[in-house]
Amino acid sequence: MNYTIRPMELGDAPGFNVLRRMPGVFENTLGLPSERVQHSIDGFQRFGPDDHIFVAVLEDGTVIGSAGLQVCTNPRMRHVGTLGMLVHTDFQDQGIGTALMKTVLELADNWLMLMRVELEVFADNQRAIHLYEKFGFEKEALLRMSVVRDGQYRDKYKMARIRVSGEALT
Amino acid sequence: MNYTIRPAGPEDTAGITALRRMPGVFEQAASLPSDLTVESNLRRRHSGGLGIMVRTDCQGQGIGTALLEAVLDLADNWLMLRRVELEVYADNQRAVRLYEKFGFETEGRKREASVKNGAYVDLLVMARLRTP
Repeated sequence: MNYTIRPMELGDAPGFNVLRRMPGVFENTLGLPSERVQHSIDGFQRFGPDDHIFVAVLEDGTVIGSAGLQVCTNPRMRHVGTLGMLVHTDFQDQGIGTALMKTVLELADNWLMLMRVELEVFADNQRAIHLYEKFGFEKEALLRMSVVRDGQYRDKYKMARIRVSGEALT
Repeated sequence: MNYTIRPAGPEDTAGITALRRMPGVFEQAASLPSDLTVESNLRRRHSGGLGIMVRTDCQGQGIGTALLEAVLDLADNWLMLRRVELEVYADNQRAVRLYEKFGFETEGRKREASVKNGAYVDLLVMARLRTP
């Protein structure tokens, strides 16, 4: 299976919307089955210089994954970026998540020189937690009753990866 | 000293800006003035984020307590939120004690999360839950 990782473009919005609504994906992100393509288009058009969003696409343009790094705009937090990602249900467990993480963290470490990358993950999403720990993320906080999932308020972990000054992490 | 707690309006902009720059306040404040912001994400509508600031020369006089009471009354009794969350500088012990007094619990520590006085310092994540 051949796929490419490249920056997201406006034409990816419908494919991105499919992922946001997809069973096997939306439950563990903040998507909803009712989300319209316009929501993804509006989001894309709001992207600015601090938003670094990548998609993984097949040769026919099908979006099979996405990872975003958003640098914090608060002047006292410009050394911090927030990461979020998702992978198409039919393409999970094939190394795409790992490839997306490498892309985003290479940017964070070597071109944006961020000191801290943080993310949130559902507390019972062992597969995702394992991937993040593999890349040096550590659990920092348990956010209780943080997000609705399947009729309940579920806990999330806040995880973060700190860069030790001068040390390359990737 | 007589004071009132009321919703902020455009006429407060200059006063709020003065607070945000004031030595004794600005070091510990990275976010908005006293407010409760309900999350816009539809799967987080039960949760609100809290921030408060008190003028340096008015601290230690119960104003933070009064502001928290007003905001939490709104959260509990009119917005019916299940979760109120906040972040606070880990070394701001006075603020941490005030939040604990109102039932906030520390959920974790964000390492090197903000710049203060030439260093990257930690923030505590605290939250207060309501069950029916």
